Amino acid sequence: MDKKTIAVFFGGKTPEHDVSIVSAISSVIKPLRLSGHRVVPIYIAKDGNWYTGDELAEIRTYQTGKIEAIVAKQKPLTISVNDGLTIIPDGRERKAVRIDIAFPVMHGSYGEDGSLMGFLRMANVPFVGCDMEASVIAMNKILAKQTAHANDIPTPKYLAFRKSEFEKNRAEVLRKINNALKFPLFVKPPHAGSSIGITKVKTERDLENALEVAAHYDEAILVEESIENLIEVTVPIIGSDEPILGNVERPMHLSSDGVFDFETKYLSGGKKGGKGGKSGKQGAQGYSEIPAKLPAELYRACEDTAQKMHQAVGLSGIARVDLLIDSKTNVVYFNEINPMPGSLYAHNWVVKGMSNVALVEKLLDYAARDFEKRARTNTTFATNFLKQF
Amino acid sequence: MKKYLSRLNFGYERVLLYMLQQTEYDVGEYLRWLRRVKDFRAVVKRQSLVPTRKIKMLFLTLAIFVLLYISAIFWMVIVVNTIWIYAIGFVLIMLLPVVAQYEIVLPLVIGKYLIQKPMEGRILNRAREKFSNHPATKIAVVGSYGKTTAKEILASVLGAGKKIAATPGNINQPLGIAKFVDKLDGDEDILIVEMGEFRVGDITKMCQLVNPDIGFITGVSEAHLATFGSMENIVATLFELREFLGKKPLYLNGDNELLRSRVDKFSILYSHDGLGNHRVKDVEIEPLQTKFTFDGQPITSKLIGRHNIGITAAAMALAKKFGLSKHEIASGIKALTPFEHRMAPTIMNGAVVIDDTYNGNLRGVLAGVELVRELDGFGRKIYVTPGLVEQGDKTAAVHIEIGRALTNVFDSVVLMRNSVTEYILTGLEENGFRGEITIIDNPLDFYENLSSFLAMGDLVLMQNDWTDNYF
Repeated sequence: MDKKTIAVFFGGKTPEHDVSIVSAISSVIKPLRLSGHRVVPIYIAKDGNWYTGDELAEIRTYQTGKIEAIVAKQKPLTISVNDGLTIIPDGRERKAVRIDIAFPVMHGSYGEDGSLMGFLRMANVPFVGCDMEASVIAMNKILAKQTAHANDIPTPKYLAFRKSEFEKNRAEVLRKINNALKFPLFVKPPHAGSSIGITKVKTERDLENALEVAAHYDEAILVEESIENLIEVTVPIIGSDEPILGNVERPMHLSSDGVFDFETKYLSGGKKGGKGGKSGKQGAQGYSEIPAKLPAELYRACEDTAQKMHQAVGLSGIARVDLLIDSKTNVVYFNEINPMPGSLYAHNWVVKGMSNVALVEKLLDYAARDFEKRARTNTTFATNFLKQF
Repeated sequence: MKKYLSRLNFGYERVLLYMLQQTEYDVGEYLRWLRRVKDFRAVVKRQSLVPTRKIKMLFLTLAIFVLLYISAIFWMVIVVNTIWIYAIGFVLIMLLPVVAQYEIVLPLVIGKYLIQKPMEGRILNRAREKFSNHPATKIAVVGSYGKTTAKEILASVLGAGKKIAATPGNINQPLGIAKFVDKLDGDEDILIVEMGEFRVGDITKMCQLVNPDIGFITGVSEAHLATFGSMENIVATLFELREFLGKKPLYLNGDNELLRSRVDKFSILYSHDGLGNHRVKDVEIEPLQTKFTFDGQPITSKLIGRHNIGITAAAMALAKKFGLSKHEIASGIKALTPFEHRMAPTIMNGAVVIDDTYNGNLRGVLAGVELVRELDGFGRKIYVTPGLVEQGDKTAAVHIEIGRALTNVFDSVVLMRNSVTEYILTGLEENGFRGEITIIDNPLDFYENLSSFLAMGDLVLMQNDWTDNYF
C-alpha cells in the first residue's frame, strides 16, 4: 500500500485504558512506522480529552508518568470533520494534518463499542476494524447472544435484566433466574470488557451479590449458565466478505474460579501457572496453545461457529470470536466477540504466517475497501418533500 | 556547498574522529570516505565515538593545531593590517574545517613511520623465530571467503584428537598472528593460522612469518577488489601460498571453478562430492543442519549449506591422515556450532533467520542464495541486504548479478537504501522479479524490529551489513 497518514486512536475513558496504550504502541504504531507510514497518535486521556504529538507514541511517556505533565500542559487537539478528518494539534491551524485512514485501537466503552466508529463514519474517513453496528452488537453481550440465538448458533442459556428492574424488584429477578437457569452461573455486565464485574456463582446464596457487582458496572445485567467440562478457545478473524481465520487458540491460564480475570488476562505475562505446551506461545494474554490441540472435527466446528457468528453480526476488519466447548458433548457454544482484540492478536497471526507488519497492512487494505463499499451505497436521493411542505 | 556547510556545526571534530575509529585508523580508507561523504551531520548512526587514549591524543593534537592556526592568522592580520590581509585571513578561517580534516591524520602518519613500523619489525622478527622453533605442523588458511569457517572446522575436527591452536576470531594479520604465537604453550601438535590478504605480497609475508607445512585456499572472489585493482592480482596473491609451499600439500576448494582450474600435482581438490578417494554422498540440506555420509559414515553437521560440506570432508580426511579415529572425528564435527553472523540460523517468531551478515562477497552471497533455493517447505523466502562494499569498478556488475540471482528464489527482497540499491533493483527487473521489494531508509530500525516483519514459516537470509563509513 502507498504510504499513508494514519491516525491511531488509543487510551480512552475505559478501565482498559492502559491495555489500549500497549496494544496501540506495540502492535499498531510500531509496524505502521516500520512500513513507512506516517503515524499521528491520538491519545484519549482518562478525562476524555484528546491529544496528539510524537511523544504520545512512545511507551516511555506512559511508563515514566510523563504523560501526566503532557496532559496538564498541552492543549487538547481540535478535529475538523469537513470533507474528511483533519487533526489540528494544539489548535494551531498551520500544523493541521489530514488523515487518510483512522486506526482505532480502543478497548471497551467509548471506543470499541461503536461510538468512535460512528464518529469516523460522520467524518467520512476510512477506518480499520468493525463498523459501528457490528461493534455495538459485539460489545453488548446480550445483543450478541440474541444474534447468535436468532441464527441458530448455540450459546449458553441466559436471561437479561435492566439494572432498574433488579433494583426495584430483586426477589422477582432472583426467582426468575432460579426457575429458568441451572447453577453454576455467570453474572456479567453486558458491556464491560476484560472480565471486569464478572462473577461465577455456584449457589443461590452468592447470586444477589454477583448481580449487585454487575449492576455497578452497567445499566443491564446478563446471567448465563456456565458450560461445564469446559475448553475455552478463541478464533481471530480478519476481513469482511471473504474473512480469513486465524488459528483456533486455546488460552492456557484460568484463575482459580474458572474465569479469565483482568489480572490473568493482561498482567500475568505467562507467569501464572507455568509454561504452556510445546506449541505454547506467549501472547498478549499469557501462554496459549496455537493451534489448539483439538480433534480435527471439533477444530473445524470451532472455525465454523466463529465464521457463522462473524457473518451474523456483520463483523469486518478485525475481530476475535470467543467460544466455549463442552468437552463431553463436543458442543461448541458462542461466548462473546471482541471487535478489537488486544495487541491485534498479532501473536496468533504470526503463527498463521502473517507478520505484524503484514497484518497492519492487510487491515489498512480492508479499511480502504470497506470505505469504498460504503461510498458506493447511495445515502441521498432527490425528493420534492420540501416543496410539498 | 552543502558538504562544506555540513562541517560547520558543533561536534564536527567528533565525526572525523569517529570515522578514523570506524576505519581502524586506516588513513587511505578515511581519505576515501572523505571524498565520498556528502553530509557530515548524517554520519554517526550505528555506534558512537569511544574516547580511547588514541582518540584523546588525536583530539588534543587537533585542538593545539586549531589554536596555533587561528593565532597565526590573527598575528598575520594584526602585523600586516591591510584590507587584503583581512580577506585572506577570512578565507583561511573559513578553510579551517577543511584543513582540519587532513591535519587530524598527521599524527597517525608520523607515528606510523617513526614509532609503529620499527616496533612492528622487532615483534615480527621475534614471532618468526618462535614459529620456526615450534615443532607443530602448521596449517595456513587463505582465501577471499570462507577462511574463518575453514579454520574453525579444521580446529574442531583435528582438535578432537590432537592438541591444536588456531588464530582466534577474525585475527588474520601479521601482528595478530605474532600475538597468537606469543601465547602458545609450545607443545601443540598442530597450529592453524588464518591469513587475510589486502595487497599483493601479503600472503608471502605471512608465510615467511609462519612457515606453513600445509595450505588451504578456500575460495577466490572479488573481495577487496578496490585495493587489489584486478582479479588477477587477487588470484596471484592467494597463490603466493602455493609458491611458498613448493611440493608440500595444498588443499583447494574445488567448488570454486577458478581454483579448480589451478590444480597441480601437489594440490588436493575438495568439494561437496568429497576429495581423492573419500566420497561424500546422501546429502540432505536442511535449515538447521546438514546431513551426509563420508566414506559411508553418517555425518550431521550444524553448519548449514552445501558449501560447508567440502571443507568438512577435507578436515575429516586430514584428520584421518593425522591418525584420528572415526569416533574422534565424529565428536569433532558434533562440537561444531554455527559461527556468529556466518550462516548462523536462529528461530524468530517461528521463522528461520539465517544471519550471514559477515558475508561480504559475491561468492558468499551466491552460496547463501543457493542454500535458500535448496530449502523447501517455507511460506515466504525473504532476502535482506544492503549490498556489498569495496567492489571497485565492478560495483554495478556485481550487484546486478546479485539482483538476478535472487529473482527466482525469493518472494520478498528487503534492501537498505544506499548507492548500490539501484543496481540490485536493475538485476531484479532484468530477470522479471515478481515478488515484493521493500527499501529501508533506517537499517538499524529494521534490524532491531526484524521480528515485526516475520511470521511462522518464513525463511530469511540476511547477508552483509554496512558500517557507517560505507554509507
